[in-house]
Amino acid sequence: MTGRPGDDLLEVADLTVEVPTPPLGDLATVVDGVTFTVRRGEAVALLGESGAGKSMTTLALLRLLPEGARSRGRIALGGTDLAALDERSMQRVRGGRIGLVFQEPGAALDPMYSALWHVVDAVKLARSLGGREAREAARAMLARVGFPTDRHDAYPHELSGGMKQRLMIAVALAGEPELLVADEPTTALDVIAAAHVRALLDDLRRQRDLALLVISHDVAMVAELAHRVVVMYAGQVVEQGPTREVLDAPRHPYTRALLDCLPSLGAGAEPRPRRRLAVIPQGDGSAAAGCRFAPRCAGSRAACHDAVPPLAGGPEHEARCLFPLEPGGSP
Amino acid sequence: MTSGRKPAEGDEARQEVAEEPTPPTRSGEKPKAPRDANQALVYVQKLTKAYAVRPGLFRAPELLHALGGVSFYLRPRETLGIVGESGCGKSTLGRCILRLVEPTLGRVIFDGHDLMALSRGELRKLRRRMQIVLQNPYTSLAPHLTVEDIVAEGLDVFGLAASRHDRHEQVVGWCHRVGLAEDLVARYPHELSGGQRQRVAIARALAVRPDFLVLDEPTSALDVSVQAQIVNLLQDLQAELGLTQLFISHDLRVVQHVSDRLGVMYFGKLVELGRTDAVVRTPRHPYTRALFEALPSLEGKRRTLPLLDEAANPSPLAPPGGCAFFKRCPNAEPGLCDIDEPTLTETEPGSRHRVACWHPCED
Repeated sequence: MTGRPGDDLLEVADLTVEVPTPPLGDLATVVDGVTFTVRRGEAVALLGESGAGKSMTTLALLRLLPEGARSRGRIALGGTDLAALDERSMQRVRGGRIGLVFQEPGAALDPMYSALWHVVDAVKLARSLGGREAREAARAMLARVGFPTDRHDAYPHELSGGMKQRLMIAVALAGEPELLVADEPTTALDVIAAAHVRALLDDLRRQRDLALLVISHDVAMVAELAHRVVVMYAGQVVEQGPTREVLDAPRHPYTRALLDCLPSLGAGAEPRPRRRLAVIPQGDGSAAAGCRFAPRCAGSRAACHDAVPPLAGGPEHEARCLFPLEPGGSP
Repeated sequence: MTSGRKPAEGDEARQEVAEEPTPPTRSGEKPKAPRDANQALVYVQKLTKAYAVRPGLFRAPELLHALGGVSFYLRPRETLGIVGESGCGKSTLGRCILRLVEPTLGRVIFDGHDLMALSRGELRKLRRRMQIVLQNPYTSLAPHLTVEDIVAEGLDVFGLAASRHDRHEQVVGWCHRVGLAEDLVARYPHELSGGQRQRVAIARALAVRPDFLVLDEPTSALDVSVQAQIVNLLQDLQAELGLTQLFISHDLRVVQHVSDRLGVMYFGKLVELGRTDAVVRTPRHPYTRALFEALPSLEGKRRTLPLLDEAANPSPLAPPGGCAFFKRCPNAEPGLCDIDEPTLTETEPGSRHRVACWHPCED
């Protein structure tokens, strides 16, 4: 997490995604006016719980939205408007300028082929190299991600979760991407394997000046990996800013609550009755006219229910709240 | 493992310290009526499970050692946390204790009853007092039953409802206690959120008024905000009902939050066991230390120790002699650790903080 980020690489502006919902196929807005940027050499995290819209945001920027979904807004990669590309060119961007790493590495690997084959195949596709050169490049890539040489001929089912994820990362790097999108890259992994993958992603970002977009529900993982964090709730960005600022002095009550409901290490030393975990009350604000979080917010007031508050407080650290939290205090 | 390896000299001195409150009755003996707080409610002795697996279509079956002789006790009203990575045998442990999976060797004494010696009928009666809550509320609830029928499953099996009206009253009462709205009792699982389903699973387990609850990753499939609710709920219910709990999870943060004592499993065995604060603050086993080291820190702190090699795990088909952690261990001493297997031994006499390691970490 060191090194100075460069100029803007990915720009997402006012992205809105609507997907058809069963049974009648009515369109529901699952991403609502999302705006953020990722600079070269920078790690940005989309943080949120399920239903926050973080995965749909990712799919939209890769143009992989499900059938019938519609998206609006600007998505640009190094100045190229991705929405304007034809499908063939977009295919070259995926696996080329944008590399992808998913939560379940096993699901993205073909059980019929060896580890090395996966990378060779990706290298051939992305860089149109011949057999020998492609194999050389693939071996170099596997070495780069710390994949052991004696496992090159192993099949996916013979690999541990951590090794599969390294393999996935090697595949993602095959096209020498400028942006690496990692959707919950460590969620399916054990503690130690996850730490290795975090360290690897951080290394790659620094050494290749790679832009990293991490999608995660895990605050601690984000704290370790990301320069900036974009907190999402019910399809909207509710807070964004430099990771340390956002986590040390959150301005949006949702961000505060997310931090508070994580058990802290060492609290187990307290005798019973234990300190209880903070809880966000239940409530659904997805259809609300005002702040989406208001039905669950301890500090909500009448004004919160009138209109969606704008992101304010910037320029670096902004929150979508009419009564933002003071540092270390309550609203 | 149960290979007939002879204990080396000196093993004697480091033999497993007899688990403290241990009055297991001999099989067949009548249960003792009163339980005081010092007496163990659950006593697990050298519990072992090996599965016969076929490594290939034309290869002979081999034994997969899932659980290699685990011993511990649980006092009434206590929560013992079990933490470990995938494949370490923690789920097998939970299932073997309840005899949902038949252990290969070892004993479980539950309130004076030797579960391994019981007939099916006798075991069935005791089952009311031992319940389990599983990780995935999407697959552990029957999709064709309403919430009411799911929660009442145990009541029906054990004949605990006097009438239809009583059954309904009890179900509504439990739904209320676990925080489910009354109008949900007529719903089906697919109409509920993940958190609501897990509440249903908890209500189902508690409706038969068990003494002992095995919780196998009860919060792992849930969002963090929902996880916090379920963790609080479980703690409240435990205090209210005086439950004894075995809380199994891969999530160190959650386990150390809920447990009085904490056991760390590696490769089918307990490698460390002690009071939670002692294990968290002064982990003695290099593996325990590595686990805590590997956790991402909210403060964004950088790691101080090098990460363990993740590829050097032994194969459960061919358990190594000596310590299973040998190849990954920073403290390993060739000639000792790869030959003699360390047993769970108190770090200091009387500390009840036990570690299975020849070279435990210092502070």
